[in-house]
Amino acid sequence: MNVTDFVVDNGTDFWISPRVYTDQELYRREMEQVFRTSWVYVAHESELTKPGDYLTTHVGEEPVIVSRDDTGKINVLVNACRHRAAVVCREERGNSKAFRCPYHGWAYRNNGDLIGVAQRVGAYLDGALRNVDGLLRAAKVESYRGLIFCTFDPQAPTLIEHLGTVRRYVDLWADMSPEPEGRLLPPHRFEYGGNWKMQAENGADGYHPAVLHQSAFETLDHFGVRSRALSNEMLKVGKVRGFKEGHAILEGGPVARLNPKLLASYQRALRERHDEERVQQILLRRHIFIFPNVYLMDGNIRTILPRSVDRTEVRSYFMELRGVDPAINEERLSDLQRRLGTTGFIGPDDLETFAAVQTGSRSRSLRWMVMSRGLGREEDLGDGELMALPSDETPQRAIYREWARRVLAYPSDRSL
Amino acid sequence: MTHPTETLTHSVEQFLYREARLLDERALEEWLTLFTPDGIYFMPMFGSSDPVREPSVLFDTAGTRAQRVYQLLHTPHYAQIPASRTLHQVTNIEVWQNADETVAAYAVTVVHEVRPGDPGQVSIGQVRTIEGRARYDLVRASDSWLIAKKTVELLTHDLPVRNLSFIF
Ligand code: FES
Ligand SMILES: [Fe+2]
Repeated sequence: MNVTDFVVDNGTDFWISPRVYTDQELYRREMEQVFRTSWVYVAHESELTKPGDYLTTHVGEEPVIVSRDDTGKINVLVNACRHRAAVVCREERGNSKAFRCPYHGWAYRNNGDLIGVAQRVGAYLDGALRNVDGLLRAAKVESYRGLIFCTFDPQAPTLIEHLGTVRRYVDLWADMSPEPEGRLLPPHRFEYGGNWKMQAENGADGYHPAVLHQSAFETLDHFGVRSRALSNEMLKVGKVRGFKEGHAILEGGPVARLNPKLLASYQRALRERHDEERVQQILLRRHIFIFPNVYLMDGNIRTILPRSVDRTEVRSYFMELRGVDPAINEERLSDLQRRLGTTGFIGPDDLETFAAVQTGSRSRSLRWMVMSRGLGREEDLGDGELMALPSDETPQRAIYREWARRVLAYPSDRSL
Repeated sequence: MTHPTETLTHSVEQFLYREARLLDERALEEWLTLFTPDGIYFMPMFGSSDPVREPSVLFDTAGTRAQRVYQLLHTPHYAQIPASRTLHQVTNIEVWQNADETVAAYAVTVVHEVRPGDPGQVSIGQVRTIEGRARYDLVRASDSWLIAKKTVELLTHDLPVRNLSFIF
């Protein structure tokens, strides 16, 4: 496998092979070289408030338990029994001091430590179980502004290094909640018949809404809801950003489509804690992609869970702001749900497009997808941050350069 | 709540079958007229969800219901090109009459859905079955009924779903 089979990045053009959506070997490498060695978002601290709280999820295809142990520490434990691999926890959420394997009864504390092996006495030679001290775990777990990430690579840089300069935008995002931190509610969950990278590309794609979401804009405009105007405004004042770590941002337009009275009340709450310039920055709407699997959006956290090379789950968690009039959260929730919920006016159109891309990617004739838009009009802000117009494909290039570095040993100095 | 007469049960059943047929025929503007002006269509994410403060699969008032129908009928809604072909099957109907002449009806709804076209394309040509338990709160309207509230809890209410852009 050669990087030149999948990526063309020659200064004039940026092309990606559609086989990145269909190739089993690439997918296998992604599970190793992206989802094990990168920092990967796993949960939000507000989902695990009390000691013993846990949830089960996946890091790539690795089944994990994210648990808050009795000392309050967050653990990312491999959900596979050290005996013969059964998952030790099948519930998706709960509170427990221990996880007892249903198969032969090996039991583990909520920090992963082995409590005991059933009928151990006399059954094993001396030293036979000396390496079995508990559930396996992520090499590192770190939180930033309530966002919990882990990596299985002991050599990985710190989370702060992985975030790089996107961190200041993560701060702006987290500061949307006047009282830190926001609280996540149970997610809208979708599945689509396409590769996981399509969702990664799409959330920071400012080129498609005017076309793909015309239907939603026409509908809302017909009923007097200012939606196209908002979208046009975003295209006028908006920006996209790409970062050398593979992160990306689509930004522009007002953060919350609140009615004027609620907006004024929200601004007052923010002004009590921040100066005016920062308030204006916080109020800019952003979709922040943190490589490889999470979007921080104006109303929600959107996570991407690869299920196979051509099947993906997406979860959209509404983030409730704290320290605001409850009516503000109600209006934000209703807006988010109407746009991006399971039965929203916008979200299903995106997911259906991914199915269309997956079908088209089976073409043997189509060698390359064109992601060259805006090359030549990007502004280099230093520290590996590029900025361009909202319809430019700077975010997608940032994502695929980092992807290619990890999966195909793409040289770093070609990056920016 | 009391057991209704057979005639009442029959008329509620006929009403639910008619709703199912209107949805299958995509007679969505007519379907809108089956609701009272403040009628609600609610698909909770969890049975006890508060639709105002917690996320739902769907929460439509008359306003958003009309927007949904408009999007489906009059705009290029990509998730519905081609449009879903559906069979709404309503079974296990149980009717309870309230003291005030309103009626609560429970039913199991099974929707068989397919988007016609080339089955070689992802998400086209595969029949899906989506099922839920419905509760209808109905009020009398001359010779028939109106929906004050339709609540559907999908079997997969808190699980991932594919394209749910048709009306369940
Ligand atoms: S597999 Fe867990 S105890 Fe045997
Ligand atoms: Fe979109």
